[in-house]
Amino acid sequence: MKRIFNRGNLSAITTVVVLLVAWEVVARIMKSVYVPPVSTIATTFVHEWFSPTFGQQAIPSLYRMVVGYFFASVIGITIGIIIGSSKPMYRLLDPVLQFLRAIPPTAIIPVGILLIGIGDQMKMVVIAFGSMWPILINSADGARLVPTERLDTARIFGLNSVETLLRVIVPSAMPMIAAGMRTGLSIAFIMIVVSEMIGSTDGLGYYILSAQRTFAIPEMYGGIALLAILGYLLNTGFVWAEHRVLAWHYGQTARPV
Amino acid sequence: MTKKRSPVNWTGFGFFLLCAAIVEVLARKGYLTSYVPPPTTIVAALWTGLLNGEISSQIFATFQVYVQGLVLATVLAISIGVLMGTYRPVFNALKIIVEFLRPVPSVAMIPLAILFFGLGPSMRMSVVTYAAFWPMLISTIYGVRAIDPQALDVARNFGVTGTEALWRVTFPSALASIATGFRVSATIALVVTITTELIAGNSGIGYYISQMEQADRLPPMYAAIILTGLLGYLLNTLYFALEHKFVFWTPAARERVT
Amino acid sequence: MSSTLAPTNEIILDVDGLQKRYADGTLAVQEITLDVRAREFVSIVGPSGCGKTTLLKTICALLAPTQGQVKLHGRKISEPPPQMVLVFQDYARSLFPWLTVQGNVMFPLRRRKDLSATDKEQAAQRAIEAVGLTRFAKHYPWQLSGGMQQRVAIARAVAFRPEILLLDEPFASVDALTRADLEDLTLQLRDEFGITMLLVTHDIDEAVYLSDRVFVLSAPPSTVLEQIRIPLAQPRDQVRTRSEPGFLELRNHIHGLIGKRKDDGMKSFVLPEAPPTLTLEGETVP
Repeated sequence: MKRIFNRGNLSAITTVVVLLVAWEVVARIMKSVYVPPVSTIATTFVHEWFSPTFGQQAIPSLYRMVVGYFFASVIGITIGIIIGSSKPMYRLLDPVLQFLRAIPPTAIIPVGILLIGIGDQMKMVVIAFGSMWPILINSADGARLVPTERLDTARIFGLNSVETLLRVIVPSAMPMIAAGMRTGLSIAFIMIVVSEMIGSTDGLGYYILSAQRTFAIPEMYGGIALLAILGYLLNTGFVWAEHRVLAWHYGQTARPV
Repeated sequence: MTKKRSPVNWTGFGFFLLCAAIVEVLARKGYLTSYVPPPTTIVAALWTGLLNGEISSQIFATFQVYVQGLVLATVLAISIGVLMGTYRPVFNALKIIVEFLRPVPSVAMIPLAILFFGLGPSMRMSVVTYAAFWPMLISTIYGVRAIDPQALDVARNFGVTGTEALWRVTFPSALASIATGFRVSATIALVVTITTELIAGNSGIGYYISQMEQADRLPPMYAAIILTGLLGYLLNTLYFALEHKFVFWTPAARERVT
Repeated sequence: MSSTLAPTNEIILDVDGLQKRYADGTLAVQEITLDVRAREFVSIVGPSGCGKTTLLKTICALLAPTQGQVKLHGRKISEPPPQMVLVFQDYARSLFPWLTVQGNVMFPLRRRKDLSATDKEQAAQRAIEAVGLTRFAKHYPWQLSGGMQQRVAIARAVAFRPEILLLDEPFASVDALTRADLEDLTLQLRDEFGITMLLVTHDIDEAVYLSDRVFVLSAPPSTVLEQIRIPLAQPRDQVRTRSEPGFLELRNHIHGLIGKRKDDGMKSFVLPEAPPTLTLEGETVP
């Protein structure tokens, strides 16, 4: 605990506090609708999000995102590993994949709306499409870059292709896959917000946009703050989980051999 | 131990064309629920749109927002980044703000931006600036921090201190890291520009896409979507080339040649 | 030293006219013919770059020869056979960092459905003991020093109970003291488990110290220059064996063989003409 309150952090906390106080004071003086005082935002935040609204708006967003991300991971890792393990497959599919991944996933949303309509499925599909690419590409790279000595060792010990894939290639590629999944998670988060802003009747993206339109300004700020908190939690949570699963990797890179 | 391979991936491109041909046939036969038009119509729409200004005018609008947003982000990121990287007190004071603002997706700022700027290019530019700012800030700080302290000592020896040292020693050394950050920021900037146009735009390629979707004009819609991918790819290639030209002295850049 | 584990005259590995050409056309191995007898310790020495790793990989059928063949117990092999295991030079790249030492050593036993889990554990433990790493069984390879990691790789190979152990410059990446320990370890393993050893190295002293026979390779494209029997007394000892007069004779002889080829090569090497130097005035100076 003592370490948290050292000089550097004290300065950081002070800055934040000073800024918040300044915001409060300026907002109260200006009385502008556009910049409500921090205290108002805070009370609205507590009022909104510790209530059924959370279940109505935040949970659907998270649910869609998790489902889409799950499929993105499963498909991305599977296809990526298979492509990466086979040089001929890699060469065959490379241009098609490069083409598909160059398209910004948000631009696909209108296509999704046309093909699937406005609903949970569209969002999940679009999220899956968008977050799949970094996962796929990183999985392919991870599989490609397995040291030949390890593959040779698997052959020497008589492992067949499936065993080699599962017992050697996948574990070797895990660090890269994890990196891809982390990027994919940020993209999934962005995609849910965007897809809810464009075509939705509920969800966090819809909430903050409609709050702005209906001039429910403190609610808008509150929604943005909630998004910030969720984003932070997701990222930190992922990094924490990654460090536990890949303890062997982080231990290895920490100690140069 | 690699087989002799031509540098151009003919198999891959062949497969790509094969896929396109299959889609073409299926679409013309009506199997693709008429929501995926034949690729040839998409290419034709792209070509026409570029020539008659329908698409090219939107490209121009997008680029205006993109360039302005990116330039502003660059200026802010580098100046604040250098300050934060060089002076510990500044870093300490701002680090919590950076840590909490950074993971906020720029799209979440769109309602806020609409509030202050209305609907229009300025609103979109502010969001783009916000999005492109963070990667470059981080890589600038990193680049400045990673400077060989000897370089600064040598400079001090020759009487180069203060702002001059910042400009003549700190900045060039950090350039490699800044350049990489710029490339990441630029990619994000393009995507965010188009996304904001999609959500709440009144001009630009993203706006065009949503217009075409609402008007049920599918070939131009797909054409614009593919165009964004193309633009992203071209710009990325350009930045790689520029980076290589201007930051040729780092080992990383040298490696890429050989 | 039990006489039942002494080398026999039975040839178990027969390499005949092996040639290996890389995909880009360069000839790595021109023509190699050699044989290995049961429980023998055979070394292959040659200058750097003479395709020793390629040779070893071709012998255990990881690579297919361009010409010639490899016969194990009289039968031609085309896939890595279970009787042979190759230990790589770069242990860091061949060991699995996500498994402990024990996990790594047990890995080759995965396919053995005939062994129970306890059997497998015991076999692994025995191999780990044999290389002297019992205390570190639950460590991860990257927590250990280079020499210890190579021991793990060797233990993993031994747990597979191969007939022949192929070693690709296994001690090149460790320091001299560790190397001596590892050399003696391989001799021990040969005695304890009756494994035949085929070692590739550029270290002539090491080859002479360890082997019953040494094959000397030429510079690439490599051929066998000479086959030399090492009649030095068993068991070998780092101090005693290396100071025997026979030892020095043999190593000097091999040095001469390899060195001579190198000299020949260098005499026929012609220096390219130096490019003309420009002076400030723009006149060229040859």
